[in-house]
Amino acid sequence: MIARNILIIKFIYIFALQSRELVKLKWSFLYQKNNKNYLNIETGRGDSEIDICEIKNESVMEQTNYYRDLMVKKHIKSDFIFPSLSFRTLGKAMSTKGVNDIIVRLSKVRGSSFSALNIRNLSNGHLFTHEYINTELKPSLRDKFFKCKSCGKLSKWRNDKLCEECSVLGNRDYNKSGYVYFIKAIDYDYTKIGIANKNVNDRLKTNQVGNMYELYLMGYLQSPDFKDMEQEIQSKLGKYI
Amino acid sequence: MRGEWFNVGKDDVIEVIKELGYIDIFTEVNQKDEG
Repeated sequence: MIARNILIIKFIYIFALQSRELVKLKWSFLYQKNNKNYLNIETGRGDSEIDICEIKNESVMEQTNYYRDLMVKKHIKSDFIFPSLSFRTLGKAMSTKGVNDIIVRLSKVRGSSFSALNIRNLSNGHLFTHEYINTELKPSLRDKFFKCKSCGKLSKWRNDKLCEECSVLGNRDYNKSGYVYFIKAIDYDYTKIGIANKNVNDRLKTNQVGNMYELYLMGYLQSPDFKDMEQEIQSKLGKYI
Repeated sequence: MRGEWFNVGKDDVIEVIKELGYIDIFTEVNQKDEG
């Protein structure tokens, strides 16, 4: 637990992490490319906005690997780099309050009181003034990227939802795209055809409520023209109502 | 947004999707009641 907590503080300082970014870190976000170590940080909701940091400091990498081995030895399996270690939520994501509590508690041991936000602000300040605590602990710059809504590729941050290629192709309407869903009763020839703006699985749940048949999502069409497509399909099947 | 229930099976639906030329963008999720 101590190894985890110390690494948490170091990660927050080096990568200027917010608590909510820290708790989302997974081992799969830590990778090697061209003999360099990188860490991906999910900054927004979901994985649409990602900051990529190069881990220049080898001692941090060594400590991380040591911590990883320690987790394996203790039989703690988790996708998260900093999982919860409490009895009920072992291996699951930590809460942001948990992260703050750790830092406040450790800071009080040293007779002061600071939070995760204070460490982050210190890191950002040091980045600006090119200062650092010691040679081992230096804040890293974060490169901002975003995931293109159309092709899913990571591109350098710009205030848009599509990468340059997709914008040129005129895929802008993709932002407005929705779904035509087909929900069918299991073992019966009853199919519901409707539209959903965001999540087709939510439609399945709402349709199941109060329905005597067990339903399943047969499939869906995704398109910016989803409303017209629904009308077209429904009118073709009109005689079967 | 309300959708509509039809008295049709999977094959009929797929046929209509093919007829309208949308089969390329159709994503089949699962096949729970085949056979």
